[in-house]
Amino acid sequence: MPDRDAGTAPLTPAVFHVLLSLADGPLHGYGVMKRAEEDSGLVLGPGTVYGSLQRLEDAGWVRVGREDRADARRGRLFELTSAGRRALEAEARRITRLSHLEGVRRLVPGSGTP
Amino acid sequence: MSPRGLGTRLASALVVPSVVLYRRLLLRFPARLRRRFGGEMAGAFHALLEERVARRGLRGFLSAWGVALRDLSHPLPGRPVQDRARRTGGVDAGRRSAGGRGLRASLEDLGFAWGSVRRDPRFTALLVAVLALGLALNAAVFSVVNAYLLRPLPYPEADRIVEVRPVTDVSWTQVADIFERAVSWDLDVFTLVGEEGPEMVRGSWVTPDFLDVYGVRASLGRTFRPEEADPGAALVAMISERLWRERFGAAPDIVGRSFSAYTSDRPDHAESFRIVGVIPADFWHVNAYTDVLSPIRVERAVYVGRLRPDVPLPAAEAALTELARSTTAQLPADFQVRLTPLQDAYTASVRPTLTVLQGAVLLVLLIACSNAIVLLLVRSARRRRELGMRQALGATALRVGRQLAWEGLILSGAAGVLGLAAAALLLDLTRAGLQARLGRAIPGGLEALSLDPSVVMAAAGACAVIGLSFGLVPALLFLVGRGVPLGTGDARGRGEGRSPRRLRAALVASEVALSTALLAGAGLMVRSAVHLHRMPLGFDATGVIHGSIGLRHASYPDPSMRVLLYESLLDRVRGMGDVEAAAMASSTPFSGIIRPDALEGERVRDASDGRARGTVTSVGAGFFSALGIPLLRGRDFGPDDTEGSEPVAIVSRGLGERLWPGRDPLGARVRTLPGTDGGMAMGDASPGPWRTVVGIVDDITRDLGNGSDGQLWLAYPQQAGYWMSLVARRRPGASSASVVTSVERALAELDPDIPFSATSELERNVAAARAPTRLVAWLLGGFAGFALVLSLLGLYGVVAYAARQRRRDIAIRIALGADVDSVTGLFLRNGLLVVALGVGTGVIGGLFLGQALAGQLRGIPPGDPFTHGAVAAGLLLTAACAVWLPARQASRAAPMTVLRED
Repeated sequence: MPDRDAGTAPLTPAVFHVLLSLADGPLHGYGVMKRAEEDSGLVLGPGTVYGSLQRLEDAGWVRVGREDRADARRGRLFELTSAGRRALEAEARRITRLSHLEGVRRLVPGSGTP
Repeated sequence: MSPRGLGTRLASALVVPSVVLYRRLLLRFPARLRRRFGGEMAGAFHALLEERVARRGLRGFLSAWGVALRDLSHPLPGRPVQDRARRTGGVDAGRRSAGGRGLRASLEDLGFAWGSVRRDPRFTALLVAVLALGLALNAAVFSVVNAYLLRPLPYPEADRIVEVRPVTDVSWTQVADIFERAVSWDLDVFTLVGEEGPEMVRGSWVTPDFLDVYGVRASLGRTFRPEEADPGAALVAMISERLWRERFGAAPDIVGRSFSAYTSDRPDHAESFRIVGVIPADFWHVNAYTDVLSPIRVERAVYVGRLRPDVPLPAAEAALTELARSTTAQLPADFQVRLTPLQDAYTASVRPTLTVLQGAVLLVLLIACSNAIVLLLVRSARRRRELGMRQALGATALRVGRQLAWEGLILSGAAGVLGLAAAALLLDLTRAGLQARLGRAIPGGLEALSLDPSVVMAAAGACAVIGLSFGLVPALLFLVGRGVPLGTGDARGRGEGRSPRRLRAALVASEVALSTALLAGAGLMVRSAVHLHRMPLGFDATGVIHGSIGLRHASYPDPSMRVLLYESLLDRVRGMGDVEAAAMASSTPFSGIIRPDALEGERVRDASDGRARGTVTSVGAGFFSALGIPLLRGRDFGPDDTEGSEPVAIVSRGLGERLWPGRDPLGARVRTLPGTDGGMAMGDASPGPWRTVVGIVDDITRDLGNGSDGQLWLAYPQQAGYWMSLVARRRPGASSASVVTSVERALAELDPDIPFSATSELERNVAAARAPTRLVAWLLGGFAGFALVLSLLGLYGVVAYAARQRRRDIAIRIALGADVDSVTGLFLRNGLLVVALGVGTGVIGGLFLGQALAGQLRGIPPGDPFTHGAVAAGLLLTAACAVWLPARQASRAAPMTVLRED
């Protein structure tokens, strides 16, 4: 069920952070929680993370892989599909664009400078 | 144990239960997600918990749950992209709230509640701390009550074991129709002799069924057989596990071995006892005389029995009374045997103390709760906007009420956990001291005093009730006061209905009332403790050590031989560097209550009756100076007062005045009369010999039970017993232990087979006698102080809040030129009305409490006007301050600052 809005509508913060945490390679659910917290200080609960992952899987942006060989206890690994990577890049571009807006630059000195 | 370490340990212990709980909460998520990822979600939560607990202990634990709860109460992740409805969380929350049902909605409310609890951490901390303290006190005191009064004695079907009073002539062998088994015993001191050295242990002569009544089996060997109680049977014994380990090195072949001991049964020579069994270490008996048990070989009146299941208690009482009448002639017409459950009989002396303490801590908890409700009410008034908003967005009244209930439960739950932890710590620290001060061994041993499941259940129940009432009261008020248009500036203090104000005032008034009553009770107890402390003893206990010396009849058959030994020992002891003075006495003050004897003074010329009661003690020369009892007139006993010389006595001043009113006791004669107490023959059946009074000493306080009844002192060489106490005052700087060692050495030089036993310090005995009253005074004082602080806090909070609500009002008045004092006065009046109401009710409550305490008061009437008056005045004064301060503050605020607010 590919999402029509992909690349156009803004992503929810939870989804964005889940996708972002998977950008460097596959992770299990708890890894996503840790990564999101390390990257942005955002604490996502297990419900949010797995709920998002399931939705993303439905949308075809994330693939559920095998169990983590290093740490089977943590469960299955999730990785980005190419559609997912495109959606993430689109969102990143959108945010960058936003940060270049004249108004934003005036609000936050130092932001948006190339 | 640092609090942090405790928190971390608590948190680690809670990790696994948390995950189990979380798994159940997963039901909140759609089945598809749960089926696919449920296990992994629980795993992730587990990992989160472990990591956070490792990093931040209890705080980490709570934050992990915070994450999970937010997650659970929050929307399920929808489509990956944002939609309009989802961005306006508040509205959406309201809509979902309105439609929410069952567990899901309830959890959502839990999430809201959690959020609001966290939003105001200082408020939450104060509330939880106050409640936790109240709960800790209750849990600790309830544990004590539980250990003594509620938990059955450590025997199977303990409720069927009853004590027979008064003791009759009915033998334990005659009652098989009434009791399944019946026992009797005779306490004795067994002096074990042999290679291991002499050792005095406490033991009992018991009927063969003794252990069976209590449902106890031997841990090694067996219990007694009926034929072993036959008069001609060989002596057998069971020994305690302690004795087996300490004296016999836990020898595995102990059963069948023998030991020799002197007893008061056959004091003339050591007898050999064959050991048939070992008493289990956990056997507990109402008296501690269980190191050696041996079958009693004479008829004995029944003391304790296990009721037959088919015989109800009244029937048993009637049957025993009948038996007693047929056994003993001429019993009074109203004679009636009473059977009391053994536990009630054993704990009768501590029951009043414990009841008072439990009552006091319940009052404290009640005060703490009303305090918390007052604080919550004050806050809920501030939160009207938030709750109103939720309601306007579609949340039903039920949902808002449920959120408040959840808040209450979170608060009381946290307080409960903290309170139980604090109570456990408190019990650990005070267990032994508490038992000593209550003066009764805890049934089942010291470890039996703990937070057992029933205490934890009771605490959990209390928490649930408290938590729900926290939620319900503000919820009701909020719903009742709903008619006020919402969002129209409640924060500025308008639109608050009258009922919340009244409820707050009523709660604070009742807090003040309860505190007043509690303080009055505490005041009475403190004053009786002071009275006991100041009560003149009549002797100087400082540095006085005493111990018992028991002589064997066989070695010292002749009184003069006994006197010779005692005097030789005294000579040696007096010559020691660390002893200032020493003397012999048949008993010492404050070492057990001695019943006063009936005494008769010889009529001097006229026919005054001349009878009185006084305690009789035999003492040797130097006793009065050793204890610092002033000799008022006449002479002390001396070396010439011997067995053959004229019998002499010394009377205390008070006794002399009662025996010979208005006459000089010196030269008069006095004798003891046969005891007539309680219908039981005590001591000799005929009067003692006439003795001439040769001296008068001051009265002393012999024990706190009798007060100063007056004492008759006899010269001990004229009736030298086998059991005497040696009293020695140590020199300043010398230690009691060194004196004891010296006496032991001196005694060993005279006769190596005599132990110097039951040594103790007189000062300690006096302190121990005062301890129960002191304990209650201290505890009640502490509880009352805590209650006072709480009610002042409540009072302050309410007045401050009322003042704050009306600060615009005040500011305008003051800006328009009103006098600061008149504005202060406005609040003062309202506040003082509440205080006066509280104190007035409290004084009445205090008078009732005084009546309840009457049995424990010493030297002060329960309605003592000074105590009650002082408490009332003190409370009025401090409470007035608690009212005046915030009122003053409010009227002092700069008008323009206030008007610019909001």
